[in-house]
Amino acid sequence: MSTNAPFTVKGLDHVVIRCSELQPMLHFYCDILGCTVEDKDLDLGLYQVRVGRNLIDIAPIDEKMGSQGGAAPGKDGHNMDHFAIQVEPYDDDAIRAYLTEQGVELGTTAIRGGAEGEGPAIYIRDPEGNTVELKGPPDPAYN
Amino acid sequence: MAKSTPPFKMEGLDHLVIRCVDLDAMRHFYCDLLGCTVDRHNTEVDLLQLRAGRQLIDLITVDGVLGRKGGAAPGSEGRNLDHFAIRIDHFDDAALHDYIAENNIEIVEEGPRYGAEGTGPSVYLRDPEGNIVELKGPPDPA
Repeated sequence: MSTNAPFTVKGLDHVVIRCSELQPMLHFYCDILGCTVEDKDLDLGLYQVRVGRNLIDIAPIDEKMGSQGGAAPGKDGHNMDHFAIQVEPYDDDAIRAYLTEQGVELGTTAIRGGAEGEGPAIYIRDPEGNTVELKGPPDPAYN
Repeated sequence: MAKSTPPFKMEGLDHLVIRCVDLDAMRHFYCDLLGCTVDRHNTEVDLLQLRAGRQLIDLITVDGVLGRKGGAAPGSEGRNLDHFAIRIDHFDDAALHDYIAENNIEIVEEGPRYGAEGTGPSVYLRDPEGNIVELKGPPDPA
């Protein structure tokens, strides 16, 4: 069924993650993964981190925006299971070595499906327990 | 001491995965109302992948193979995702409001907001499971 919406969806623009402690999150996304803080809205308590063509925004739960969602996220009951970021290049050995050196908790590497097809991906965990998938380019062997 | 740098560059978001209870209601909202389409439905792991332009919004049910691993269903508090934003191609304020009203969708708030491409008009909706979805228009030069 086609929609009669007065717009067409072009893609994701940003995600906003609630957190208990801002600094470890900024360290993880910026110092370790290589994102940069692009903008801060101190009235709202919103820290906007550039991740390629998109943003990952961080909203501490003790500031205005984050507090609207009540309690801190727990270990379970998340509304977002995980999210995936496209990375290039994807060299699994180099990525695992680098992230291990940075003390990041690593999960499995596998060929997984994404927005552009099947390709290598690794699951890691951010300081607040969110699962982040680092996804390499699609591999022609699997597509 | 030389600081290590990552052996990769971040290109952008690829997909996000939402845990939900009522898959049909969610599919209706994202597909029939917002215009996403079903890209793949992997029934072995209960994963419904919706095409949202260049990226995917994946839905998993909390009682499915993948969803169970995340424990309880999301409650009204303690969510890890505050909201997410979908870029739409154009933002016709009047047409958008008519459409939202016709379809009985709740508007949480609206106004110009900063996004990945700059500041532009946004309207925040609530999906059937209480997730806040921002529909974001093109950046406004004004």
